[in-house]
Amino acid sequence: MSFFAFKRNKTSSSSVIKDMNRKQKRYESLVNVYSADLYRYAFWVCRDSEVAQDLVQETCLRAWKSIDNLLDDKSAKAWLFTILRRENARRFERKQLSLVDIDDYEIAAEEDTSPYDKELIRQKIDTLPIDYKEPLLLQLIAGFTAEEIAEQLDLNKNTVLTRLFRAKNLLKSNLKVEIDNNGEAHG
Amino acid sequence: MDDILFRHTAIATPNDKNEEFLKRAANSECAQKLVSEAKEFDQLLKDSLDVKVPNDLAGKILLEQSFAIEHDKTMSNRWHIAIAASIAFIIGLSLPMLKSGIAPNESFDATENAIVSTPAPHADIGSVALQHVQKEYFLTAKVNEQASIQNVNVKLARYGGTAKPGLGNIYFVNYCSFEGSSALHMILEGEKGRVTVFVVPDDAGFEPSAEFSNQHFKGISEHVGKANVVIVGEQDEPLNKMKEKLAKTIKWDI
Repeated sequence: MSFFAFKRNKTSSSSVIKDMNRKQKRYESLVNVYSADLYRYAFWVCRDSEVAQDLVQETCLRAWKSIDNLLDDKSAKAWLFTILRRENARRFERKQLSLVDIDDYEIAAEEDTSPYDKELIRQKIDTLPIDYKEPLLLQLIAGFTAEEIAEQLDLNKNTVLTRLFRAKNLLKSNLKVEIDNNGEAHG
Repeated sequence: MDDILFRHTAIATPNDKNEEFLKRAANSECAQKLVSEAKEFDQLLKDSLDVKVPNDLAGKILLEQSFAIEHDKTMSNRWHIAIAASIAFIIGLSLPMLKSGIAPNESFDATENAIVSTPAPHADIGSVALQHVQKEYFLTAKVNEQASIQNVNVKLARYGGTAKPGLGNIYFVNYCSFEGSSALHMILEGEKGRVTVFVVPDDAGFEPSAEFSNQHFKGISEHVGKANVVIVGEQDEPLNKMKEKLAKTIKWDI
């Protein structure tokens, strides 16, 4: 029996507790800083608020379990999004989710100062092919650079640039926004 | 940087910090216009994608994590107990055998010894509750799910209770691991601050304790229906008021 008592005493020694506290603090800051962006990304990927919340919960729990693997805090965001994307892929393996009516979306209150209809934009983003939509969401929601997106999606940077370019052009032409930037911009 | 690459970059990543791109953008008014229009379009898309994040998402995530830690701990504690029980069992079995080999008459005594070494009885409900509240204090102090009475009833039903409106603010309601048994964990608004209420099923087998406290918290517990209701608050909280409120609003199956 003394073997067990010894082991417990050892784990509750102060250096371990200090380490646990540090780990907890680090985790809490990660959650506080990134959970909102993770949620927004998850929402646009799965188009369901409940599923998006579950995905973020799962992602964070998994992150907690392997937080010791995260050596550099600078790569924390990329690391979390990788976990989230993996979790989402796993969900798709389990089942294909039914589509949700676009009218059900809970959208943040906004001032309507733009001449474009945001509802229409949301619909158009939603109908983009996934190859275009994913880099676009990673850029606009998570704020990743083209290099970071390339790393996330395991593509080369030029492919990412092309996909972003096409996604935005597709949106623009779908939105029938005419942008007069031909000719002279080349000169 | 040629024209096509510049145009692609401007539209795809107008915030690119690449020196060549920046130089090229500063080159002509038209180039600047292209970049600023692309930035505007990006901002428009960003605004469109800005969905409302659920209230206190971070708090919920941290709470979930604390449950996971608690669960892991309970599991590892059980592992110790399981090993200890196995060893006790083996000793219990082998001692009489050994002894019977040497002196058959003494085997009865040895069996009795083995029975004496069974595990200690269950912990008392009060100290488990205090420990639980203290451990999760930093989380529960922040969480606010604004749960409805329906949320409470869905979870309370399992313990044979039905609540009617009048509980006041419900900051949190969910199942939790109460030293390994599944209990209901509610955080309600008290007179002075937050009050934690546990509903612990009888079959969890804790030692009852009507009143308990430590340097930070105090608590009371009461047996109702097929469960124990444990109320824990800070030292200056009038817990009996909460007890009366619960008695008025929750009906328990007998």
